[in-house]
Amino acid sequence: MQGVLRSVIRWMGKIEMALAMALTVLIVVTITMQIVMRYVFNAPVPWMEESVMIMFIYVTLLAAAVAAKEKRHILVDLFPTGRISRFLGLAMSILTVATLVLILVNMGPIMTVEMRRTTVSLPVNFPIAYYNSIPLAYCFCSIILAILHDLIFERKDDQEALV
Amino acid sequence: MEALVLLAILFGLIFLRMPVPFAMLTSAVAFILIQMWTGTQPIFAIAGLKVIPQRITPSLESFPLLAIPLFVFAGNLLNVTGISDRIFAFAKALVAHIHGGLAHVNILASIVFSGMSGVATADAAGLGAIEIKAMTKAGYDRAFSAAVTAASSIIGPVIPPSVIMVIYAVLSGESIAKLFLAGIVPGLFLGFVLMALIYGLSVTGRVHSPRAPKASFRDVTCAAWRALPGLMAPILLVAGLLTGVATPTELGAIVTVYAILLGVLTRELTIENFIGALRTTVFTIGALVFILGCAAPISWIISVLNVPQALQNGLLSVSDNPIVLLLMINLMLLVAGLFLETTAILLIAVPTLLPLIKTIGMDPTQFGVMMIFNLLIGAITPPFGVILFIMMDIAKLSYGALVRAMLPFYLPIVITLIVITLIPAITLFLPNLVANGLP
Repeated sequence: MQGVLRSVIRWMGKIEMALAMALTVLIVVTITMQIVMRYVFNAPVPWMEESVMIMFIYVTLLAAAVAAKEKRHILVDLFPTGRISRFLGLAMSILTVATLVLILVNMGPIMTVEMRRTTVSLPVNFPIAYYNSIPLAYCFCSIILAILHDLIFERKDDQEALV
Repeated sequence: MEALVLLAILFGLIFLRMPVPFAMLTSAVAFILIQMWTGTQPIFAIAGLKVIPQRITPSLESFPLLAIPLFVFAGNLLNVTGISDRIFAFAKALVAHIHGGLAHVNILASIVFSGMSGVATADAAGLGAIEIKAMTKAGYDRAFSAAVTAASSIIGPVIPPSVIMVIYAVLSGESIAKLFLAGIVPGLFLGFVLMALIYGLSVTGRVHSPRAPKASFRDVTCAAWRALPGLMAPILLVAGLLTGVATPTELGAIVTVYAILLGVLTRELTIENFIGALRTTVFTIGALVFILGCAAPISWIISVLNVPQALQNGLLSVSDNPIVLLLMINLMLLVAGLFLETTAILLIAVPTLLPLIKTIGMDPTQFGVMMIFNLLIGAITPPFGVILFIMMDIAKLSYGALVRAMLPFYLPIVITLIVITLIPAITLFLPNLVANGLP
C-alpha cells in the first residue's frame, strides 16, 4: 500500500513538474510571438493575453502541488527540530487537510456556475471552470494526497528511525 | 475587533509552522465559520465558505502578474550561464583598488546583477556565494563578507526587475513600469551609502580590507567586454521601460529569450542547466504566486470589514501630520517585517494602508518603494531574516557572529529609508521624467 501510494505521488509530481515546465516555456514563446506579430507583422493576436493567463493559472496550481510534495511552501521555522516541532508539523498538516477538504466540499456550486460561463476572446469557447475551479480542485486533491502520505508513512518512518 | 481575530488566527498559524498559503486559507475558513456561528456579520453567513475558492483563481487572472515567473526565469537562466562570474570580474576591475576593495566590488556587482534578478534571495544565494568565496580568499573577515553580501542583496528588489514590485503594483493598481522606474534611483542611492560606509570602515581600520592594484585600462575594457552580454539585460529592460515599446510582462519574455540566446551563443547553457533553471522557476511560482491566490479571500474579508477605513480613523486620531503618520507606518511595517514573511505583509498591508496614503496626499508609487524597502529590511534583520539564514548557510557562520557583523550596515539602510520617505523626488524623479515625455 505504502509503495503504491508513494509511487503514485512520485509520478504525479513528475507529471505536474513536466507540465508546469512546458507551460512556462509556452508562455515565454506565446508572449514573444505576440511581440513579433505586433511589431514585425503589425497583426497582434487578440486572444493571446487570455490564453497566457489561462496557462499561468495552470502553471501556478501545478507548481503549488509540486511545491507541496517537495515541501517548498514558505513557512516560518520558529521551533528547533524536536518533539515540539514534530507535534506542530503533525497538527498543522491535519488542519491543512481539514481546510482543503472543507473548501473542496464547497466548490461544487461554483463549478456548476462556472460550467455555464464561457471564455471571452479565445477562438474556441469553453467553460471557465476548465481553468478556474477544476484545476484548483485538482491542485487541492494533489496537495491533500501528498500531506496524507507524509502524515501516514513518513511519520511512521521517523518513529521507526527513532526506535 | 473582527479583523484582529482574523489576523490573530493567521499570524498564530504562521508562527505555529503552518506554510503561509495554507495559513491564509485556514484563517479565512476559520473566520467565516466563526462569523456564520456568531452571526455578527450576516454577509459572511450569506457568502459562506464557497466565497473562498471563488476568489482564488480569478485573483491570478492578471497579465501583469505574469511578469513574476518571466523575470524569475530570466534571472535563473542568467545565473546558470556564468554571467554572475563575469559581472563580479567586471566590478573587480572597476573598484577593487578603492579603500574597501572587494566589499565595494560586492556592492557594485549586486547593483548590476539586480538589473537581471527580481528576488533578493537569488542575489544572496547566486552571486552571494561567489562574492563571499572571493572575499574570504582575499583575506576579508568571513562575517564581514557575509554582512556586506546580505546588505547589498536588498538592492536587488529595489532596482528593476522586481517581483515584490509586481505584487505591489497588482495589489495597488499602480503601473509596474512606473514602479520599476521609481526604484532605480533609491537602489543606486542605497549602493552609494553602503559603499560610503565601507570606505569609512576601511579608512578608519575597523575592518581589514586588502586592496587590489588598480586595473589597467586594458584589463577594465577586457572585463567590460566579457560582462557586456550580461550588462545588456538590464539595459534592454530599462530602455524598454523608458520607451514604453513593451509592457513589463513582455519585457520579462524578451529578457528571458535574450538570456536563452546568450547562453546558447556562449555555449554555457546546456540542456541540464536549462531544465535546472526551469525547475527552480516552477518552485518559485509554486511557493510565491500561489500565496497571492490564497491571500485573495483574506483581502476580500478585510475589505468587507472596512479595515482600511478603521485604521485610517485610528491613525488620524493620533496625528494628522503626514510626517508623523508616515513615521508611524514605517515603524509598523518595520516591526511586521521583523517577524513575518514579506509577501504575507504586503498582501495585507497594501489594501489596508493605501486609502490612508492617498488621504495624506502621498504618491502611491513613492509609498510602494517605501513599503518594499521596509519589508526588505525585515529580510536582513533578526529574528527571522530569511537572507541572514542564507548567509549563515553559505558562509558557515553562527547567527550571533553574522548579526554582530551586520550592525553597522543598518545605519545606511535606515538613512535610505528616511530619504525615500521624506524626499518624494528620489523615487518620482524618473517616472515623472518619462511621464513628461522625455525618454
